[in-house]
Amino acid sequence: MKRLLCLIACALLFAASTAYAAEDALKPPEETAAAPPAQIDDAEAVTATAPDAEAKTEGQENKSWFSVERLPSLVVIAVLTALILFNIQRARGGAPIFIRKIAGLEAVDDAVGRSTEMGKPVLYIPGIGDMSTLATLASLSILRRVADKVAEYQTDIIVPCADPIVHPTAEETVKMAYVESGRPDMFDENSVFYLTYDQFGYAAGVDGIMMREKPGAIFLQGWFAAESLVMAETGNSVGAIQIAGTDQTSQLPFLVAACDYTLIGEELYAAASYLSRDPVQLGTLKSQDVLKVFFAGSVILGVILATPAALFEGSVAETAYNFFKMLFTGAAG
Amino acid sequence: MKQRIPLTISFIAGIFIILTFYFPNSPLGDIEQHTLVWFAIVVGISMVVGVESLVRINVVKIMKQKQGWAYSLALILALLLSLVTGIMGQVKYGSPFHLQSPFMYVYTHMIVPLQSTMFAILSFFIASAAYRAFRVRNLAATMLLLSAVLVMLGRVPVGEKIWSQFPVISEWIMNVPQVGAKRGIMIGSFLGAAATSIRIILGIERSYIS
Repeated sequence: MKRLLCLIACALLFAASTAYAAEDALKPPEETAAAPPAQIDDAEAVTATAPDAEAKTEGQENKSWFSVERLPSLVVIAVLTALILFNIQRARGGAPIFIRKIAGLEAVDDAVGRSTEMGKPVLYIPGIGDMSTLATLASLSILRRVADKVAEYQTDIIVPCADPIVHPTAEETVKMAYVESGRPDMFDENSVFYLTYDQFGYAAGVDGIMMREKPGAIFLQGWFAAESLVMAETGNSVGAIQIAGTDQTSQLPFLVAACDYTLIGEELYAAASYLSRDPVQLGTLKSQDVLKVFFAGSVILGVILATPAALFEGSVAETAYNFFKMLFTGAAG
Repeated sequence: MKQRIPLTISFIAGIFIILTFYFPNSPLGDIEQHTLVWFAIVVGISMVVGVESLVRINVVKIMKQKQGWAYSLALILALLLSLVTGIMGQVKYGSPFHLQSPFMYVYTHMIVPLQSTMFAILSFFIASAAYRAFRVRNLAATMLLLSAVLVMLGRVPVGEKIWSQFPVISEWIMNVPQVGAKRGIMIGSFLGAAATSIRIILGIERSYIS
């Protein structure tokens, strides 16, 4: 009973954990503009006011204790949390978990192996996001898996960082990979370094490293803006195998065009769990799949309801559609 | 213990920030604003660590005359130039950001043109990437090429002169299939971000601190 209560309490608490992301996902794309506002994004002008700031203003005008308009996101997160906890329990119980193969992640070993055979370093670019960007956190988790392989194969790795907080974190991540591989002496403290906070200064610096060091494999994982193609095309020109990954929809076409493999959106977040092969972590990926099916079903149901609602104004169909819409947006009409 | 302390801090901080999202008013909202100030201070301090790393690596490179040491020398000189002009601006005008200060001269006449140059290079990279992407190799690439041609024709005046429906088709491609695919990716990303957050807060995903 005590455990059950703890589980429910945890579920409720963690329910909110991705509330900001949920709020973004439930908004139209133009409102979910890129996170770090100072960067130039070629596809979308990053001039939108931060969603959190807007929400804050709304919240302060409406002095209610609980933000009711955010309730739908809380429900989604609660369901996701419950599913994750359920799948973790299943995985711990030894239930088989099938995860589809992700080509980009299957190629990680080959990419590091290729670099080793060629006697060239691996270049890992964690993007220009800061530590509050989830894509950067996911990138650092991938860095750990890549560094494990690099340490195992005894090859070199170069990690230029654009954020001063990402830099020590990345340094510690690579260092621990060498330590846990039993080769702490192989770690070069100059291999992970801070470059610059400036977007195009960073791109220029990384391009310079590519041209001078001619890496055998390049990983572009994290948060990118307009500089993504500048780096990816230069990497392509030096003949490196490139594995990219980002959740920025505006940059994905560039990375797909210029890189050998690209992790699209959710694959970036799944990468660390996928590479770890830990059943508990793989269980969390299964929960995402269940919710994806739910959202796909919701989209189909929404289309079915919206079509008669558009044809017969003021009918029951329109009322049903408005109710359905309210469930997802928190506002009718 | 080495892991438990950072994991506990991550857990408490994560839960607290989440609570401020659903309870945005005082007192939680006010505390959140304070944490944002702390974050700015931490970033400021970490910048010193970052610059130390940058200087150390490049000075070692110059001292050992490694390959490309001249670039490191240029970087150190540029760093010193920024520092000196910034101090000069502070002493003479009370702020390095004063329009007449030497620092602003360096910024306007060196940094901004360099940034613009890097951004402009993007157009050439777009051309080379587009050439590879649009090569007709299979059905998907052909559809991509066709869509791109239609969108481009619909977005230039000559396209409308050729056929008045090009802008309509272009808008439809951008507003229906393009937005549909984009939203699909966004929903997937949201679920991935949500699951990652839960993994980090629960301490399941700890590779970044281990």
